Amino acid sequence: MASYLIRRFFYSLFVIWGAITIIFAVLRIIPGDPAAVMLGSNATPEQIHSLNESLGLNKPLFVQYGQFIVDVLRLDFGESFRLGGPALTHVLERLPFTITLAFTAILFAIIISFPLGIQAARKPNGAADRIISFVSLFGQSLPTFWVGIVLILIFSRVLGILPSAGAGSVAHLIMPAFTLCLPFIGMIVRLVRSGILEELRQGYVQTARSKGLKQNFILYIHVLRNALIPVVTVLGLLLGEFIGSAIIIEVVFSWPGIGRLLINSILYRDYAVVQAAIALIAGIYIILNLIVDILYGYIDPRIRVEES
Amino acid sequence: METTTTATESNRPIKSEPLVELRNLSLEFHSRNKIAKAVNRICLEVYHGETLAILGESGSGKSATALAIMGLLPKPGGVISEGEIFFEGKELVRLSETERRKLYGEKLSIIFQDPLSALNPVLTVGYQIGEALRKRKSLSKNETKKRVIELMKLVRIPDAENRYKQYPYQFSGGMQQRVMIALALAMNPKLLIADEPTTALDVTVQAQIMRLLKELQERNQMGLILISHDLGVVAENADRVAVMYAGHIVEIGEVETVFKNPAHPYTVGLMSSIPSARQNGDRLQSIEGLPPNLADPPTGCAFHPRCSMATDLCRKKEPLLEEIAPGRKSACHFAKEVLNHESI
Repeated sequence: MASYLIRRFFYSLFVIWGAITIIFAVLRIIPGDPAAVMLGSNATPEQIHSLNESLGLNKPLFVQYGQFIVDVLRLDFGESFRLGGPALTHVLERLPFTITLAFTAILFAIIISFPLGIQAARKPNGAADRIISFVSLFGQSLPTFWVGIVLILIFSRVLGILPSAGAGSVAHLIMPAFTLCLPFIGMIVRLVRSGILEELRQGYVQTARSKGLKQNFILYIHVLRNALIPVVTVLGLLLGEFIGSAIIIEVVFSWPGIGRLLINSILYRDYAVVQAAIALIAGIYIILNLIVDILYGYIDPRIRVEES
Repeated sequence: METTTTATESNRPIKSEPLVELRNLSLEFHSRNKIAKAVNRICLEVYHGETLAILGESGSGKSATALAIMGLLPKPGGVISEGEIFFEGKELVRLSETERRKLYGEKLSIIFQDPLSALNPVLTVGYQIGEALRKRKSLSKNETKKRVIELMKLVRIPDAENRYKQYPYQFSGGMQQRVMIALALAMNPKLLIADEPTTALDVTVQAQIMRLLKELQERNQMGLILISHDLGVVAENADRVAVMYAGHIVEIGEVETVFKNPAHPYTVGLMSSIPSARQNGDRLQSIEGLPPNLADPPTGCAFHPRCSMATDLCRKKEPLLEEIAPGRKSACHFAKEVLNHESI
């Protein structure tokens, strides 16, 4: 396990390097002179030139890239020209909000979809199964920004029980987290359902039945843990999607997370903040995947073998 | 295993009342638009301390019979369409779910062909062996552990104290089958069904496992149903043998007499398929043709398309399993001729 984690760590460094290199390249491909965008339409050519000079944007690309990598290694992503101060500080300030939102959404997704998936698997193609699969497919096909707006209309405008925007209390969290998890529920329900049905065909279920154990006991003690192995893998892959979707949800609900900061920074060509945010998201994604891998070993003893 | 109950029961005269009795049992497998008759009106009984082998090729219905006795027919699809299964005089099919669950694990146990897939990969071996004890006899954690380690020693798993905590994949095939046996014996069952217990194992390990099974059977005076397609395993270990073909029992009797002097052309074919060390360089004998499609069985005797002795009678009329000598039954219109022909 230890050597596996070390290997994973180096692999992770490589992935982060790839992510920041891509974002460096993409930002420079976006049309429009960044200095011109920053200074607005009234800027004189001299002003633009001197800003480019001070930001180092008129140097050859590979020199800029080399400088950029050196800075990143020192965790220095530069100053935000729009907000002032180090870019990383701004990103770190917003980070807890995005993490809270994403984790609450994952929690919602698990709490809602596991029981539904188990229920659907009890009687495949029965009434409950059909209703569950229809509703979850429906939830999966609705665009999230639209769901967000409809929820705001219902719960904030008409019923007036939940705040429509901002952060600060548990009530603020409910609608964005639910909107964020909705498309994933259908996916996880189907995963849990098919995982259980697959496992029910295995020989060890027959053995458990031959011991005269109750159906529910067999389901929860014997089957569920095996069925969760592929589910956890896919959940790990979905984590990135959760963070990605969070960006849209944050805009709809004015949630002060990284997503909204990122979008505004892209619009204003605030390179430093964009680069810091992307590097951080890549880092979080990798750490989460590492956690999932460790969890995976906990559920499936066969993964733990490597150490012995 | 110092259980006194099994010891006293073993003192009963052996052929009193059967431990298990199948009466006209028929099994069907229903799929989308087909019904396969896996087992047709078979009758069997097994006595205390006896080993009955069910011999047949794959698809002959031997495993389906085992699953039906254990109440493990695949749901949905597997149906008992006719007949009864008696265990100690109780009819199993009509028992309530709770009563049935009580019998399984306590009095009836089964071990399967492939021990690795029959064991749960994510639970420790110790937990799986002791699960029934803990759930059914509500033993404490320590008592269970003590008993499980005893069981593991009984089936000769070395280093039981440490291996208790290990997972099935950490065991070799032979050791996994020992775990499976310990698991099946945990509650001191009266009847053990061994469904091809050695098929997935090396030849050397096969012999060890069979010896262990026989030894434990004698110790507890268990009835043993040994399901196999291996003529050697059956010859060495069974008291009586029932030969199955296409869902029918075609012949039943003492192993020695059936093997020496078969009374059904299918059994004759099986016996002549055994390669002999003396006939050097001969081609292996085999029975021409293939077993019938159970969704569309042939008329009359199911074996007639492959039988060299088949007549019009065989094509039209299904032979019944009839007594041809004491303790000896055959389902062939020409059973007497087959017997005499072979004894020459």
